[in-house]
Amino acid sequence: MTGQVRAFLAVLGADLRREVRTGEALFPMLMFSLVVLLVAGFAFDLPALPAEERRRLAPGILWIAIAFATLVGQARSLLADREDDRWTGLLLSPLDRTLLFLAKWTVGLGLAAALELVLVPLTVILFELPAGVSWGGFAAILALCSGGLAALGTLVGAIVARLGRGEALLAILVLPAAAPVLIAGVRSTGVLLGGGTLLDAAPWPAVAAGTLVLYLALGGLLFESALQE
Amino acid sequence: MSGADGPPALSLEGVTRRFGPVTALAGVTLEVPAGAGLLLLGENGAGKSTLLRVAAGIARPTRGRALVFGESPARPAGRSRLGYLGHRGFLHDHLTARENLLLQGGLHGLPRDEAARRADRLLERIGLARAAHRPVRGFSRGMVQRLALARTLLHGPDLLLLDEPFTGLDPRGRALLVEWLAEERAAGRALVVVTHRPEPVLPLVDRVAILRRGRVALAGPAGARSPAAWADAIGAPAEATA
Repeated sequence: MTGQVRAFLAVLGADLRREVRTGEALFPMLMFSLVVLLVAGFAFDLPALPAEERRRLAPGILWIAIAFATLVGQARSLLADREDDRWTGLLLSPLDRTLLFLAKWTVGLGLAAALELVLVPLTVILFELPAGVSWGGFAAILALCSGGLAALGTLVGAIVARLGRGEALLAILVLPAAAPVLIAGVRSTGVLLGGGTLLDAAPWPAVAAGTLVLYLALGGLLFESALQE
Repeated sequence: MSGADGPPALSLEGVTRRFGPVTALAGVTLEVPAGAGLLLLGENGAGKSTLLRVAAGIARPTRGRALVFGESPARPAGRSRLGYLGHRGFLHDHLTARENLLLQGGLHGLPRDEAARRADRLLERIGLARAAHRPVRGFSRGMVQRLALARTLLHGPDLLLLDEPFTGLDPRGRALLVEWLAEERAAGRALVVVTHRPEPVLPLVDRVAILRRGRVALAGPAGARSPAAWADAIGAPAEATA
């Protein structure tokens, strides 16, 4: 195992331990997204709606919950890394900045996956969604869009941390840039819940994949500049 | 470690660093040979901490350049040879003392068993062996500072950049640190220390430099003045560089 791989795994291990021991990112993410689902359920009086209406509403509410919960998680991670200037501690290591970005992105993606493991089944139950959905396609869309959101949040989180600014700036910078990812997620999910496939959802899965590649490339290129004083 | 004919441990060439309208460093040029020691003195706001941050590659110079053993500290090859202790310990409070040191070993690419061996030895040395498996969040200020020092040394850096290393240490901790730094010097490591307590550090360094408003106002051999005279010189009018 090379030194760079060891360093990459060390960053992953430290963040994973923090999450397992404190739950400081995942717990608020879960709470926030569950409240969004609950409020939406009451606001739209779901039991009174026909199945077709529920199916039309579900993608938007699901992606609003995922997007804002991801933002909450990123903000928590940002605050945690800012404590005792841990960002600087990481910057002092010889770990390549692109690998540091990928390590932090992997953590963000892992948190999103953990959230979605709870959130998606709850959404299916609450909205009484059809079981005959292309779950493979749905998982692919969740991975692409969550990956894009995590990449964006990781890069912007680093900029905000270095500027010494708070969560408000994180939201202001992330949400507009996340719009293509969210629209792609909503439109693709809508098609899939209607019984379609990823191909039927075109071009939105391609938009999700394209934005993921773009944000990963931007993160890899800009992370070092974003972190240095 | 570089020999005497190798590149200097630290070389600052005309380093200027501005923060908006404030000039923290104004064209600082200085060199610390491999294995040598430098004490940096100066009043608050003189630019001492900024100088160390530029040397460590955390802050980018606005002009000029910093080199660590001939490599930019912004590159992994430069960073791997330096150990920096700042005003904060860079410790993860959800991790135990030992896990923090293992993390540092991992970040520097050490195999786990080697990192564990070094961590255990350092924990013993700093008197934290019995607290090795306690999360850092319950540590006192002095314990945190000792652990932060151990973290700085774990990967065996050839250049130590220490910003106020005595902060939070009790007399025993200060004595331990002085002894430790003497050993590091004897082992051939270069040392740059910023402190407001010059007395214990003066015997450990070859030269002293006083920064004033971002410039080297005075520099000379450590033995050229008494500790009190060096302390007095911090706020004195500018003298010619020795």
